[in-house]
Amino acid sequence: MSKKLLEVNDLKINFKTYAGIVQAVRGVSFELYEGETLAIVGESGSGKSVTSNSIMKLIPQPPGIYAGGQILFDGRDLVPLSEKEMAKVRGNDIAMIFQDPMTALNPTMRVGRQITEVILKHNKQVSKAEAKERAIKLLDLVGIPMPEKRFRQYPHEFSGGMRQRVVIAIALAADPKLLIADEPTTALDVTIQAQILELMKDIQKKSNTSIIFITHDLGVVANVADRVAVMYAGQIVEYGTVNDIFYNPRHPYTWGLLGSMPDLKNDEKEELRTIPGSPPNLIHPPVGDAFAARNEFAMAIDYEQEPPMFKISDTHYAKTWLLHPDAPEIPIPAAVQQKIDGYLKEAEENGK
Amino acid sequence: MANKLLEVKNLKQHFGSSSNPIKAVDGITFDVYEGETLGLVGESGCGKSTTGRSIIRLYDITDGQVIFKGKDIHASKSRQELKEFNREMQMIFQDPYASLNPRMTAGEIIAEGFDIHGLYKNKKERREHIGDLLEAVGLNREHANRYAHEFSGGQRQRIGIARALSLDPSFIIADEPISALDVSIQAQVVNLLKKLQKERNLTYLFIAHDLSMVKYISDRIAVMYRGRIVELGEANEIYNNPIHPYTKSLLSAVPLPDPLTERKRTRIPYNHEETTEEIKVHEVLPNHFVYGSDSQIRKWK
Repeated sequence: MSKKLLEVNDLKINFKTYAGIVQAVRGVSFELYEGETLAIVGESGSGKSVTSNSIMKLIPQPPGIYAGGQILFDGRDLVPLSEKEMAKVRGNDIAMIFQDPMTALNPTMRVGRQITEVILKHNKQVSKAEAKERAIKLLDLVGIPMPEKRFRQYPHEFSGGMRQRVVIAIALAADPKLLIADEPTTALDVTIQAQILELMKDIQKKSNTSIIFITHDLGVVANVADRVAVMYAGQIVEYGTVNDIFYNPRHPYTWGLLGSMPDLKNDEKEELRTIPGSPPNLIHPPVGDAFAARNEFAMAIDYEQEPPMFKISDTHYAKTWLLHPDAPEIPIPAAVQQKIDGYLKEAEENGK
Repeated sequence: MANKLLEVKNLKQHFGSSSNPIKAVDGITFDVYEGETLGLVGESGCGKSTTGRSIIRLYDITDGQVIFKGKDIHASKSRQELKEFNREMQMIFQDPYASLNPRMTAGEIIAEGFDIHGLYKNKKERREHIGDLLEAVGLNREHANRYAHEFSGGQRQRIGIARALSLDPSFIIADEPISALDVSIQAQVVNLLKKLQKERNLTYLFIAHDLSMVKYISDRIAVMYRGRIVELGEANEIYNNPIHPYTKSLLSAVPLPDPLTERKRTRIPYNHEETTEEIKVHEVLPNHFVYGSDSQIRKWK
């Protein structure tokens, strides 16, 4: 069994606004092992980016407030650390890849210097020449052709996909144990996206890095993740291995997400399932289950009491009253089940 | 077979200096039939948005012809003819945050079209029609008095759609109408577009880079690469039987919500090969067109 690298316990993050206190993250718990990829999925406003930023302590305070919980990295709680102590953790232990490679790089600085800057800052014994050598190696590692020449170029001389590779090279510069990637491929074309995903998986294999991957694209999740956390309204509503989530989803919100994606393999044109309505206002989170108002299977208790995390198997949990022993048996909606059956059948046929 | 609504013939759109032009669109030809949805896909910079914008006259084209309902739309026109044309063809934009004027209410945004065209004599009739349009796109009549910032992304896109519908057009160009929206909201908007198409007999040119959504909404699909259409055909045909290596490469990169296939995914890289032979459009199967030289087509098949 590999080592547990990160453990987040009941994390709560609030933001003070003029309208009131927004409870952006409302008690999130998960863990991450070495060499593993956890994908956090959810709509905008579900708190997935706030969760990941909070691990790096990138939440500005104020207006952000760490209202409770722990972030244990290698057994050490990051929440009470000072800004100075955190600066050592960032880059060295945890690094981040941002969504938009167009804005994550400094346009007035040569790409090479942006990488050596990180290396020199985090390792005082390294000479400038050594740093340059390492930076060129990194550029090569992330698949940038002619790294010596590219080292001296500016970001505007790179295409979007190449820039994202530079951002990844910077993130890897100090050999972090944990890489947080916040929608790293959303701004890219599908062909480039596929390349970047392959690159990240490749690097993970070589250096046993753990990755937290934030995205709203379920196709990307299926491609990269070992485990998946589905977030809704600041909480994790379903948590499990990638197979649990895609082949045995139990939360109605996960059903909605899976159902709202059209199926490339399916030539039938039935209407897409939608999740009616929109996410709740987190200044006044609803009483009971936050998803109740959009849930076609909602029961009376959903409006009164918040459901606990029900255990489905050793790896699979979901936060819905539908899993209570007294709840009526609700099968996975036919359209979603049909897709799953189709995938499983195909996998079986290919396996033969 | 339905009637041709729009014919695009050898459309070219070059930008920049004439000595070293950027050939955003470099000679594309296609037809759009009445009542269908034609999907236009390709990576960023391939010229798909430029094509849409050239068709609706946001740009003056460099060369070629765009014929809408038998009339060349880029030929010089009287003010009256222009107005007629503008009523027939409308556009839905990508970013529902940037495409709505923050100083106007939803009602004003929707009514701007019929104010310009002088469609309604009295205020009551105008108000009625704004309400009808809001209801058609799944909003409430009361929403007419609210400003854009009071709506969510999905609701804003619905206002954008209501605005496009306000003049009762027959042809709508939707330029990445769902890319800026969340997955669950995307499905709502796509279902709405399909419903409106059925009710109002609309024809769509649907421009997007999300291939699974394009396949879902389109009857036919055109794949663009570097300013040219490299493959065109029925949506299912393109997906099940792609012939051009670029289309194959593009399809091999689309991630599916299916971990078992994803783990075995092999991406097909695309290497653009230059050829000295004459390149033209071949009809490889009925209604399935591929762009390439004779020998290339033989090899790809």
